[in-house]
Amino acid sequence: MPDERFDVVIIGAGPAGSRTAAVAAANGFSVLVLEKRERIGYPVRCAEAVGPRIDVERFLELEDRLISSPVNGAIVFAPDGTKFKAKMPGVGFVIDRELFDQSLADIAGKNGAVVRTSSQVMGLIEEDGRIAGVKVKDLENDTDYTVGARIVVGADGIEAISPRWAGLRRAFGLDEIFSCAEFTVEGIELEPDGPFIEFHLGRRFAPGGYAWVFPKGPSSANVGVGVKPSMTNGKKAIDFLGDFLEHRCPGARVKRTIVGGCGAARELQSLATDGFLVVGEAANHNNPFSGGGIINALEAADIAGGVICEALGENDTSAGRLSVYTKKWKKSVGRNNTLFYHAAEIFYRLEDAEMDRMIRRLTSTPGIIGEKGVKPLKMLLVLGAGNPKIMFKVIGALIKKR
Amino acid sequence: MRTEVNDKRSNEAAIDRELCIACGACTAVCPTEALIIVGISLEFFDSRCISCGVAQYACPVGALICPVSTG
Repeated sequence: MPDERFDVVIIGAGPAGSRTAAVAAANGFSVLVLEKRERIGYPVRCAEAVGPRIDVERFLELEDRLISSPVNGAIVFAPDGTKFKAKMPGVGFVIDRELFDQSLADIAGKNGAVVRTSSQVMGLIEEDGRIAGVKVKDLENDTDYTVGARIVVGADGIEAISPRWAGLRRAFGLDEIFSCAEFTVEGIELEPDGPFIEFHLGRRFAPGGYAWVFPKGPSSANVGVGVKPSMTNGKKAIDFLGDFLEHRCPGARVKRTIVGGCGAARELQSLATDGFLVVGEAANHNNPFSGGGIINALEAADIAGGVICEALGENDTSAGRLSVYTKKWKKSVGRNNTLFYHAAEIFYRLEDAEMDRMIRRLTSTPGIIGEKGVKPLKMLLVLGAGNPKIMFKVIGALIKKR
Repeated sequence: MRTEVNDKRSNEAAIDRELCIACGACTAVCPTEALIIVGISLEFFDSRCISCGVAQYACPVGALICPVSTG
């Protein structure tokens, strides 16, 4: 017998976990969220950019205190240094991710969910071939206990151990992750008429990924790099960041250092098994081209939360019933993520000169940027046009896409 | 279901604690769950380590030393 019982137990109080909790709790189900860290949202592991207000506010009010800076456009720097500037007023925000995560957890709590910090899930409980709960360590008191659940939700982020225990995924490969390092700096000169987010491409600063400048204030920004570990010959993200800092803002003062992994993997086959589902970055839900994952995680959590409520209402938490969530996800954001994955696989492997040409072609294509940013299918087609070798890859990617 | 976090932890030899900030990048790629974040600290379970070396490649700061691949 478990020590406690809840309808839903959620592993991880990031955006995906807290939002899933908020939805299930609002519908009257008992919900427990277990967060291993002592303080929700801290330490931050994020470059902190999100999309437009209308997208964010489907999930929570974007209060001023959550905003570090608005974003009114983007500048892409090709490997040869050429600048491509696009003004896009209201396209997004750079947020305070710690406060953001805490606000989402607060909403879950107000809806009736129990949120416990310093609570590490040590393993899953299996009963009659289904997942029926979790083993927990209270890290503060060093005590162990068990919690029974009708549904367990893995929202454990990039570390994603619980979906491995549940048999839904394996570890990320070295090709499926961006290894990232970021400084929050003070004293950086930013482009006027912005604020703009900057993407710097090319092998010098970010083989397999990109370097970024995301403004946090008039003269402060998150400056980072994400690289594919399989393409760096052993050089570390933090060393690429040192080079990039020297290039972009030599005199700036470093206020905060953040490092971490960011998923760049393709969609999972299945997001659910008997009594368990996985959501957010733990489920590869972040965009494999940009790395951005906050809105996607919230969107996935809404779908998951809805299916959880239906399944609990019908008292059927089998893999079959929960697979409705997989289908709904794949029909919405999942489909775009698959296109982004293939686009990324082609784009980030280009040699610098080829990437220069491709960026010219992409930025001169009318309508490639929609209301929600870059359109993935269009990007994939542009990547293919005019280069038979790439076209072959694109056709292969389109045929393979699920 | 196959593995879980257990209490058998090894020494600190493989982790440079000065550099490691327990970001979790290594745990994401470690295929055998030999590296796991407990609370906000990286733990190494050496009985599970197969010395494949992926963790040290994924680490953004060079805080991991793979016992085999570095000799």
